[in-house]
Amino acid sequence: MDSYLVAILTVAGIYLILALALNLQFGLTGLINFGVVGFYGLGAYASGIATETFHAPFLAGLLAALIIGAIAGALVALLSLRLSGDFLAIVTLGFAETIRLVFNNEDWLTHGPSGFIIVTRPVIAGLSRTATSWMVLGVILLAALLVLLLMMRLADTPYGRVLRAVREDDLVPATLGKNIFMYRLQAFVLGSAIMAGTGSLYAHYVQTITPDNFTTPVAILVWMSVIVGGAGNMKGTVLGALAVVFIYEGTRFIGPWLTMLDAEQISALRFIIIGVALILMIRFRPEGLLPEAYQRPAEAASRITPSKG
Amino acid sequence: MTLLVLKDLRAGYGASDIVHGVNLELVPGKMIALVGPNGAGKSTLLKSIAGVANVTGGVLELDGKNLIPLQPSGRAQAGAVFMPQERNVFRTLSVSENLAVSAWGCRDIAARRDEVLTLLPTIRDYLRKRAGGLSGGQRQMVGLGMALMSRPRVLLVDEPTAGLSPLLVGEMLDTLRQLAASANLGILIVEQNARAALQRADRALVLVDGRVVRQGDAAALADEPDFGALFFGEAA
Amino acid sequence: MIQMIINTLASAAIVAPAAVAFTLVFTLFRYANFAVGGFVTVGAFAAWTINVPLGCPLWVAGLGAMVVCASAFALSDRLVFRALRGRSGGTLLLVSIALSFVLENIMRFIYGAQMKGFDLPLTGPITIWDVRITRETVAVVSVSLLAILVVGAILILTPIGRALRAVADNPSLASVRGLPVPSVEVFGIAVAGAMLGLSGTLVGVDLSIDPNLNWAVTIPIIAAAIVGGLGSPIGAAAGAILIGAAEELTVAFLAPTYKGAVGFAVIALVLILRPQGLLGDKVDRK
Repeated sequence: MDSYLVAILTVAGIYLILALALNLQFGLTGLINFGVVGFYGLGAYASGIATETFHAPFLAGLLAALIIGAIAGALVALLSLRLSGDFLAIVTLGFAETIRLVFNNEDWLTHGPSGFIIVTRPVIAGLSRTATSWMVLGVILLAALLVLLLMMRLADTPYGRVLRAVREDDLVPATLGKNIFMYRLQAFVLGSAIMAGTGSLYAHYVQTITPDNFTTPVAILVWMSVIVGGAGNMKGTVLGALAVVFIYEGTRFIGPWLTMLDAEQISALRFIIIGVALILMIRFRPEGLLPEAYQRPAEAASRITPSKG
Repeated sequence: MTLLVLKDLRAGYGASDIVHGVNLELVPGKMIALVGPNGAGKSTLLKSIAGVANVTGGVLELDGKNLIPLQPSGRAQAGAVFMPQERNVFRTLSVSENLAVSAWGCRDIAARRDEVLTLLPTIRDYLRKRAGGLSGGQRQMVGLGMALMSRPRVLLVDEPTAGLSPLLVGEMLDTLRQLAASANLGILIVEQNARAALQRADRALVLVDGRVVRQGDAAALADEPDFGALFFGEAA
Repeated sequence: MIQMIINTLASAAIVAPAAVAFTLVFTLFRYANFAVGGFVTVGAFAAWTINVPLGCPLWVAGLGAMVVCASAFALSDRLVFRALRGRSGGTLLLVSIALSFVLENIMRFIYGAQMKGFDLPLTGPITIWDVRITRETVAVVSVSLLAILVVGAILILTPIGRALRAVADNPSLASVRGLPVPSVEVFGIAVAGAMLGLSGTLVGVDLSIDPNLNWAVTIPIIAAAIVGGLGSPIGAAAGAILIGAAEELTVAFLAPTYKGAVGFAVIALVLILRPQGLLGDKVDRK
């Protein structure tokens, strides 16, 4: 049971970092990134290839993941940031799908669907199994804490306020002389690099990665964490990620009760529950469990001045 | 004989009213102009009759029928037809289609179209063109023709001359004036070119801050020495 | 060469009705509904259920799938999308992806992950001037073409089609002109749903039916609609042919394994070169 709890917490930490990065892009800046799993997977493979194929230490792998994630984020952003929001969404989705095809097909690099094995661990070698898993959990939670503090700090600075202004209305910061494109680019690149870094942590935690680790269900869980917690609120994301992981892992236990269902059906049922919950959340409580404390300029204005006649 | 009746009508969009109690009676064949400074609530009044803005109190009847519970489409079918100021044609449809689609559910579309083309003969010249490619004046004419397709009792016209050249302003208002007589319509018009509108209208209401501050015979109102002050909202 | 053209037409014929559906929804409500692939999958399974377990001929199954998808699509609008009108395009996109995910897993829950195929009589290919065409391909292409022509005719020639275009153009004007906007919208959604059901049936003639169809078809459908300019059914059909051709060329000259990326590559290219698509009107975007 202990090891199961450690595993859940580790996974929760990974989802939390991904969700925080997405919250920077979507919650603060309003950029719709449906390619979360693309950056995440890219980081995982980059780090794995650095440490296994090139025998680099773990930190070099993590660094490689961050750099490659940033470059990929910049490329995707340059391609699509000038377009309107839904086109960015489509391009990011395309990026994730294409990247997954690369993982699947370039056997020489990624070993394809059979899986890429990663021996290097993010902790000192030679410890017992249990100790190692606790240490890995520690590393991931520490990373999550660092990212959380960074994001909370960022959200409170003038920089964070400009990002919010970019999200609410492109015209306002433009009239203030801010280069909106640069702000969007920076937020997108930082978020993508963090996602890729998370991929590195994940790869060295699970030790075998396959292209199937980086598919839509993961993206749905990350998006749900941000929406459930409250877009724009970093503390909300912590709550959201925990809630989502516990719902997701919790529904694992419905299996034994529903003996007439096979494993395939139970897995499908869990995804149905998650998907329906996400739709209900957006439908009935779009501001999330912990709404952002910031008052949107449009709403604030509508409360003061009545509509023109 | 009275077509449209407003009693103490209040209207707005959100929580607060913009129109604070307007009384008005419109009879067939007559044109009433609503004038007043910007933001006086003229358009809101018109839109509340059409169902685009919310009526928050008072009486609104057409031929003795209460319009308030009806949706915009229901009010149009009842005979209170609104011609918006902007975007009043379907740009991707041809002029002919614009006319046809405005007589939804009618079996005699061709007859109605002929009727409209008799009233507004200039439309014939560009019947096959796409409405999005028309000039401003042509577009207003098509918008008017679309409104007439449903054989309205009351036409609610919101600034039909906005963006038109001075020459076309008089032409458009004359067309409306003649329509009121020839089709026996009641017309309620909001117009920025107040003097031009008052020359053609039968009666006029001056609206300031959502209230009627002056009303009466349009020509007489135009001759009043303090009319300019009223229009610009500086009434003492 | 001719064989490639035939393959292109065959894959375009499958995608085109669904691309028409995506375009219809986009012109009516101005959002990208990513659940189209999910509904095509539902259509494929509906047709299979009517064809194989119930033993009806395929044309009955196809009509049944169209009815099922039209109802399911209308229901999804009633329960999910209608309440979200006016929300941002991104929100609707996210909701439609979640819906697509739910539909795919409902199919997986009911039918399992095993691949299924229609009960089709074995027929030999027809050979004309050394070119082999299977009778199924001929049927798929003609049915698809017919369906698109019918939708086009409804939009251009009938009063309800005219009303649909008017509502798509300017819903608030349509409402003050006395058009019953909600009913017209439901009609449009039902037509789109029926087209998704038809695509589902055609896909099942060509490929095996399993829940993973969802993503495999979503991307070409949306790519075809975007390339087609998001304005007219003819544009969507032309887009489907273009995507089909691009996929064929990729399979023939580059790498068959990257066929799945073609749709996105084309979307990216179109977005860079012409944000309004190749044909059709420039779309007003908020």
